[in-house]
Amino acid sequence: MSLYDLANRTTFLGVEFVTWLWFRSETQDGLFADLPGAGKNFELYFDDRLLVSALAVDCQENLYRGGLPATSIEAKAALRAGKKAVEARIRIVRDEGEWSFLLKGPALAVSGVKVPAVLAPEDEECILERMTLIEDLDRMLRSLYRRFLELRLGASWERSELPALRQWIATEG
Amino acid sequence: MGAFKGNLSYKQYYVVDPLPEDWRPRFEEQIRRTVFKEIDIDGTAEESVGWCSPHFPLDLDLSPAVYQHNEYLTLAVRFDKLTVPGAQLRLYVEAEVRKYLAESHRDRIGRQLRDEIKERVRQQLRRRILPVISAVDMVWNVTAGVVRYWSHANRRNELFVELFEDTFGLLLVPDSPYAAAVYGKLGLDDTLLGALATVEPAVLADAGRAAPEIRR
Repeated sequence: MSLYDLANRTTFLGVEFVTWLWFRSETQDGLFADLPGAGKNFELYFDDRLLVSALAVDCQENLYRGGLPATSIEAKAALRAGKKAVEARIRIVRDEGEWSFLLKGPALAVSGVKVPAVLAPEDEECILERMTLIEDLDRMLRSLYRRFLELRLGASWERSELPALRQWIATEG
Repeated sequence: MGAFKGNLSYKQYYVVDPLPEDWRPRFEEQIRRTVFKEIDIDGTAEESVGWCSPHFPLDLDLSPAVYQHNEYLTLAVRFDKLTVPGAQLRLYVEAEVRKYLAESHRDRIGRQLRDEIKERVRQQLRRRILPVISAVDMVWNVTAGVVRYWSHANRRNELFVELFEDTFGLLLVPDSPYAAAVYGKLGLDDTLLGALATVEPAVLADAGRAAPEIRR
């Protein structure tokens, strides 16, 4: 199978990753600690935009905007109906810094990224500082994705992680 | 758009080929070869794509001092488009056709002659318009092998990948759940990477409660 085919075949992993992040963020009060490669511990929250859908053809999408849709009864009900989180605006807080971005599951892409304030005024320093902040975000996201894949592709997925995820989805509210 | 100021929306790629040992002088020469070239208004090409300075799109003097910042190679892709608007072209062609008919005392014109007039008018109008210029930043962390390109537009990304691979001779792979696992240096072992090829979507909700169209 070509790289193109493999990439297309596994876009669902990105959607499951966003859904898993939602589950983990809610059940561990946003705190993500001791992730290899992440650097320091950080907090991750779902913010004011959430899109849920299913892979089925002609399935309706539900887009929630404003407030904190991840905590809404409607969004959880969509998960119980078999849908998954396709994209979400996410906020990460680490020390004094805060990153905000839209995470799009199928392509594992980010857009609309806001990084902590850049202080350097000069071109060269500015680009270096901005790239450092983007790469900090990238490291945190990679460490989360790595953790997800270790669970998803390993034996503990069926044994413990998937049942816990299903239990969270089944819980009303 | 993007790397130095403004919106941080980018598409990410992995450079999967190893860097050549002499990459600094080699890239300097290759960037000069593929630097942006103005559209020839006497020709027929409507687009031109090439590298320009990330600081100013009209600056085409690309030395390492412009694009090299520590481990980052920063350039912008300049796109020029020189298209005669269809509505104006039709009007001016019609004017020429009327003039021809009046001068030749005819009441009809053949398809071939009309096409010739159209091409002549298009060339005349090309000299009277300026190309639309846009530039999109690219930042390549040569140490990490990660490229960020400040646009999500499909056509822009296709042109960018073509230019990048032509310039540097290195393959770019767009980020995706699969590419991140394989090329993202996550440190996954071979067993997990092997499982990627066969993993199937998980059913997360109680199947009995799922909507009918999703259960199918």
